[in-house]
Amino acid sequence: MSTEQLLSIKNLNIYLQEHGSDTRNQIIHNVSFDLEKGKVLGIVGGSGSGKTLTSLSVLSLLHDKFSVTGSIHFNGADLLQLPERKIRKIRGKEIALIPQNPMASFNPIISIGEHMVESMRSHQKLTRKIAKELAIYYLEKMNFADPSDLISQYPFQLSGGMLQRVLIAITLSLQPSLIIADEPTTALDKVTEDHILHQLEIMKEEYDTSMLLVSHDFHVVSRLADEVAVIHNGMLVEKGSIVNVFRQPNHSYTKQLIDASIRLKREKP
Amino acid sequence: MIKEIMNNKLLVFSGAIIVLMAFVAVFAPYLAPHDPNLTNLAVRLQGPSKDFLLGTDHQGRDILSRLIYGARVSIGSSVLVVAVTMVISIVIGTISGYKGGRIDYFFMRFCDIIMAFPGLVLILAFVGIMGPGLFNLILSIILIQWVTYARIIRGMVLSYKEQNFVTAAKMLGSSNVKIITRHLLPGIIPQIIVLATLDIGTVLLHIAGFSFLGLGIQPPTAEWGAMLNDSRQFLRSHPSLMIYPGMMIFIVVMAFNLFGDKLRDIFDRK
Amino acid sequence: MIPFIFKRIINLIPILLGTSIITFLLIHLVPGDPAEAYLRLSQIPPTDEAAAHIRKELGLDKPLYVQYFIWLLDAFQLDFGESFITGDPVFEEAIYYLWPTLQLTLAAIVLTLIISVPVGILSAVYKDRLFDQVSRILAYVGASMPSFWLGFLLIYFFSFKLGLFPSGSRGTFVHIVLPAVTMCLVYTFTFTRLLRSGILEFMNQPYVMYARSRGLKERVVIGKHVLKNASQPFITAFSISIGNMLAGTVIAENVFAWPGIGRYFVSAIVNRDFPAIQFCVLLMTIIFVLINLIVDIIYAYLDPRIRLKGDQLK
Ligand SMILES: Nc1ncnc2c1ncn2[C@@H]1O[C@H](COP(=O)(O)OP(=O)(O)OP(=O)(O)O)[C@@H](O)[C@H]1O
Ligand SMILES: [Mg+2]
Repeated sequence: MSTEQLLSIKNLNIYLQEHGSDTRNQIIHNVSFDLEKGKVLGIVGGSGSGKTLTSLSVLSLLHDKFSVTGSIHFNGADLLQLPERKIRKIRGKEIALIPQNPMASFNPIISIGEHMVESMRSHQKLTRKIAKELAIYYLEKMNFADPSDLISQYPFQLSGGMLQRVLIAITLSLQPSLIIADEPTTALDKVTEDHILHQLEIMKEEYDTSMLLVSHDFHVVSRLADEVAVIHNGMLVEKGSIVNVFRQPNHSYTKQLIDASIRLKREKP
Repeated sequence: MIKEIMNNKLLVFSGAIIVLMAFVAVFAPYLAPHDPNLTNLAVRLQGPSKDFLLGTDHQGRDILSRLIYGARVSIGSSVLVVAVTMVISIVIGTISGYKGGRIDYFFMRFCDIIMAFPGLVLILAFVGIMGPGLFNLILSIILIQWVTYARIIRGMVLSYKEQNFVTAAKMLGSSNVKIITRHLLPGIIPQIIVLATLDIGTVLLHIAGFSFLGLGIQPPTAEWGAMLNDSRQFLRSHPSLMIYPGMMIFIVVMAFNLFGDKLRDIFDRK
Repeated sequence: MIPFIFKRIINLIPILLGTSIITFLLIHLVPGDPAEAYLRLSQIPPTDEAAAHIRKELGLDKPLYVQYFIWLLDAFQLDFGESFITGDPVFEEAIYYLWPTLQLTLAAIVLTLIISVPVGILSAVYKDRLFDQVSRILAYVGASMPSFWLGFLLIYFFSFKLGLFPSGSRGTFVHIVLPAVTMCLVYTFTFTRLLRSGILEFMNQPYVMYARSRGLKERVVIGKHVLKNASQPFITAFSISIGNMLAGTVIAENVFAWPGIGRYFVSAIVNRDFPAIQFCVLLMTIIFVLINLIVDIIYAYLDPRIRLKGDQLK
């Protein structure tokens, strides 16, 4: 049974202890959930509920002021027990992250192309030239008009939505088996949001990629996810298949979230 | 916890050195066993003895007494420089930050120009133009240093100005002078003390360095940098002439730097 | 890139003119009569007559602005007057002494970089561990150490006691070691701390986290994503310090009898040799301004935001 699970998080606790401070605060409380291979799990919660922290803990990317307990099994191995050296091989290649804030996620002094090339080349033996061609190929997939021009541009020359699309192109190029997408459509207009969700759908269908889709918007999650987990104040308050949760939310917080997203949808012109 | 105690230990330790040195500087005439400038070629370059605890220099002057009087000159002039610098910086920095507008604009452009050059280069140029001597040296250092500090203080004032109680005081109709002296200055005084403490070390190094070059305090006045210059010919035969004054500079500057740093840690934590 | 550099060079002209005017004014306003200094140095009794004569000869009787223009016109032909002491053109003298100073400064800069960059990186990587603590203590020592004392200590131990290096003057490669070490040690550990805090600051940038999340090797993450960004405040501080180092050569040259421009300048100050003083100040400005220019070019090279600025706005 548990062998089918690609990702299985059990009793995850995350504590925060600021440097030089004596107090330790718990931010994530006993969160557990599973993700089957080829499925999409939506993680929904309000701002500050702990979605990003949970996602980053999977790849051991948290700052060392955070400490993590519990277990995160991926393909049978507990990621929390793996040495840094082995985690590094999993990052990008097996599990790729689409970070929350595209504007801040690019190194301002490194070109778009170099971001893509270095990522691919750190997992595959590729010449620079081939990596560059691949970069153009994946950017084309993301509907960029002139990818060969784009790769020599710098992050500050692109808009937020464009950068978000580049993030997805990078993820595509890495061909991971699991994608963690942290609010991939926040702060985008509806047309771009639609386009990006569509790309994620394609990835799921074409490459059979599994996905953790993080969002505060039930509507976004409902489009892609098979299952959904609701986080509130660092605690998992509800989980189940998307249809069930949407029809019959048990927790009052879930109801609020659903109401809010429906209201938003109605207000849309 | 351990860190806190360590910090405080260093703070107390460096503070004690500073107090001790200040004491020595103030009471130099009572502490020094000899006249620091009394030459006596009959006893030149002697090793430590009962009469001369640290020996004598090439003119037979008592080294210990010269070190004691040197504290007076070196520390005294550094403190003077820093005090004057801070007064000027506080006045101009506060006006510029508080008033804003055109005054502030011109002040900032002026700062940009001065601060584009490294301080040491400017001091050297000023001393070069005005000529050697303690007065010119002190003047040059003040003329250069105040700009940096005025700018820092302006920044502090700006960030303080935005805080609620200042706005409230303004709305209650307090006069500007009152707001500045009652509300603004008390708030930034701790930071200014840290700045001043850290600066004393730097200034002392400048004064000693220029005196070493013969551009600051002139012989025969006992000053640590000038003493080092005197020791030059006897470096091989009598290294102690060079060790003592250098050690004094090093210890005092280190004490001020440590004290300032640890003080900042404490103020920062609040 | 070329227009960028060109624009910067054009910007230098007003700075140099300004400096020359200020130096000129200050020298003539400060108490101490150049004519008297000249007489004293030429060992002519400073009678009123002699002073008046010399004033006329040196053009000191003309109004200040006329004097300045004469000076400026001469300056364009690289004629900055003759030294009161030697009677030789100060331009030639200063250039003659400049080369050894540049040599020494360069050696000190290279030495500083060789030590401070790796130590800075390691201090950041091993933050709060023993290595970092030791480098922190050394930073305190370096910041409190009078460089002239350090120079004497080095001479005493390495030259007199151990006989490893010569104690002074210029000659072969070994002569430069002690003065360069003296100049660099004071700055090295300050830079180390600066680089360390820069690296630590940039370590927490979201793009560094994202670089890690893509599985880049730690070496690439630090070297490419952290260091290149963190080097900018470092370069700023470094460029300022190069100026201070140049001024600091004055002390090293004095301690080690290094025949450089610093010693020339100090003796000019002591003797009130006005033409030499004026030219030295100008020379220091020129050198410093040139260093700034080079640093700006390095910035632009490192940071596309500066290089391509103006693409988006207007
Ligand atoms: N770097 C940090 N330092 C201290 N506390 C943090 C840090 N990052 C997050 N937190 C705390 O952890 C909690 C969870 O944060 P997290 O970023 O996971 O929220 P989120 O669900 O992703 O919110 P959002 O939808 O706004 O992105 C927050 O309440 C925040 O206070
Ligand atoms: Mg988040």
